[in-house]
Amino acid sequence: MTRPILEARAVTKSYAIGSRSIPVLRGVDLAIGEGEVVALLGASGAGKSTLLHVLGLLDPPTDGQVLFEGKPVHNLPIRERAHLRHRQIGFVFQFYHLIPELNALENVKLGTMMDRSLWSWLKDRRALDERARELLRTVGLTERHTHRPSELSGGERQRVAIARALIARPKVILADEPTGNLDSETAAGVLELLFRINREERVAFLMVTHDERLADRCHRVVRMKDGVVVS
Amino acid sequence: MIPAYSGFLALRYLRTRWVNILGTLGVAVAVWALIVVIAVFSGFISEIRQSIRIATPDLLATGFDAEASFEELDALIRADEDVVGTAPRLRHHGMYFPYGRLGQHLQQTRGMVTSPLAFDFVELVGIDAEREKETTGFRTWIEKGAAHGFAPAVPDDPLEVPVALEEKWRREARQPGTPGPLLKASPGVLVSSRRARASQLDLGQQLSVVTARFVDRGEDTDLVQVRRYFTISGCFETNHQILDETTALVGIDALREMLGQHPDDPFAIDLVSDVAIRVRPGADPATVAARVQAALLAAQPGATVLTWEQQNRVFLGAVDQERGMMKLILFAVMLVAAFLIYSTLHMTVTQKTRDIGVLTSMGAAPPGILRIFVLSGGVIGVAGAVLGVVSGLLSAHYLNDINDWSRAKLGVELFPTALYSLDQIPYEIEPGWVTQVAVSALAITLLAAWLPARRAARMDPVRALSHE
Repeated sequence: MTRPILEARAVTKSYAIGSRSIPVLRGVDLAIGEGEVVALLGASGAGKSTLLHVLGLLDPPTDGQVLFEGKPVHNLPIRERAHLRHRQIGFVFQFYHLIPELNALENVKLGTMMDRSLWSWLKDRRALDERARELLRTVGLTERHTHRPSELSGGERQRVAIARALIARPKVILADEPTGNLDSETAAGVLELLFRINREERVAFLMVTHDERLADRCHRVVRMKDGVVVS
Repeated sequence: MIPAYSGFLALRYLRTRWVNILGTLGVAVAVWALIVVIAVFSGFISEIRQSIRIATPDLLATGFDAEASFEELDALIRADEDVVGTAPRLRHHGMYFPYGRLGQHLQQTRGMVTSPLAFDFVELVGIDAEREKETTGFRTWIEKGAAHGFAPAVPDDPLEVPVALEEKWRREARQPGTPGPLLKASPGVLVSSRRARASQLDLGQQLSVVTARFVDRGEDTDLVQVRRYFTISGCFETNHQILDETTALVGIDALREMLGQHPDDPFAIDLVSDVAIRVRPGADPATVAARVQAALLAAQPGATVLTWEQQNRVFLGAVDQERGMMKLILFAVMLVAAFLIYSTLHMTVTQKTRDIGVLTSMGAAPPGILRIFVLSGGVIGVAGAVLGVVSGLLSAHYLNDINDWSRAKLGVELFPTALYSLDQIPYEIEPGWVTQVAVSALAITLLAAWLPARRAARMDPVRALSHE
């Protein structure tokens, strides 16, 4: 494995339901190397999505550590975690989660607005606009910049979501069943895109999936069961 | 720093949700109402204050005992360097019967006096017309009275009644039961033009004025009825509605006579109940009032000297309180608008829950999320306030035109000017109030937006992402 980018060390996560504490992650150790594509497999309820959220600093671990480039980041102040997430970690979701009021180009450009003031964004908007257009070209959407998500197919929406995840040049992308909502042909196209990005941009991927064939194409497969990594 | 996405999404969410226009309109209506209604109220209050100011002397010394002599008091008052004029006044309550009407009326009503045309109660104020002219707005009252009622027969002395005047009225209004020619004219009385219209009184008409006074009979005191004829010698009008409707002005000597101070009586005094005082322009009336009151203390321990505002304290206080109540009521409209904004933004936050999760996954921090919705409220507030201020100022400026148009085209008078004896709807724009309203609208809107915005900022991103 290459140098670890994102790492979970003995991570546990429990949710309180009433007076009961439900453990979801029970001491997970997992590292994603630089430029590595890791498939995360497991049955529903195994804790895959929770691990993704903990690694993406959306959900703090109950115990254990999350490290980015070797430094613990799980306990950073909320603004610093947000900044790190913006700069270094991208998310791709099964249901795309695009902002319905924005068109494809605006959805991608939104990623450039996170740590800039309106003034600074307006000043650099030409360069940022060009970067967003280039990413849309990269994901194969040259003609549909002005279309709203409701006017795009599932595959096109996921391509926009991938372009959005890439806009801040992250080192790792956490993808939660990125092809789970697509037909096999479209899914194959999206996967090709993800692997191409991995090769060309050296972006690491942690992909939650149920698809064994997809897992076989990844550099490494990690299986989870009942909140622990089993292989 | 406001992140770019906060402003960008705030505007986009507003643009794609027309329901937000309701919030903007709500704020605009509240601001508009607060500006227009209060402008009219302020204008109206200004008119009232102006009328009261004209109707009221700078200072009024009052609260004297029953044997107060004007000569003695005048010397004390005029000793103050800032007093430039004084006028004696004698107030006494009574009632009047327009001559000739009572008999007919009593026949029709079997002895009961039921019509204001047949009699009315009045506060008789005895004045010295010459001194009154130099001390108060007496000239203006007569000019206004002439414009809306009838001018005095003798312009220089409005209380003067030429015999010919009374004879003329008698000839013209002669009816069965009216008396024959007069031997001499009665003293003059000035009634307000408002009262002259209401009681259908004429210039030269005689009024039988009845009052009562106490007479000391040694061990006992009798209440004695006193009756005297007066002739209407002119009209006055102060625009101070209460004063106009309740007062009749007569010569102070005539009233003194009615109250037992006959000029031929060697023990008679120049009786007064009040002294109207004119203060040198530029002097502070309150300071002069305090000094004069102190000067009067030895001669009249119960005397008080009131400024024009103190003389009308209850009335002015009531009007001010009404304006305050109106402000409160109209601010309730603002609160309704704020609630509307709260509701629409609360709904937006609920609808955008998943977006909030997505934004957090992209690197948005809670303060930035909060600002999306606070800015939304801010834009609604600013738009509503600007719209309200502009429409409010324009409506106030063109209020009379709007009123005229509404009366002509729709038959509806928005502000019945005649009811308040006004030619036009008065209005007064107070820049301080307009600013206060606009700033309050914005503040209330921001507060209404802050509550749902705080909910958005506190959302758990993981839950938000799985929101259906």
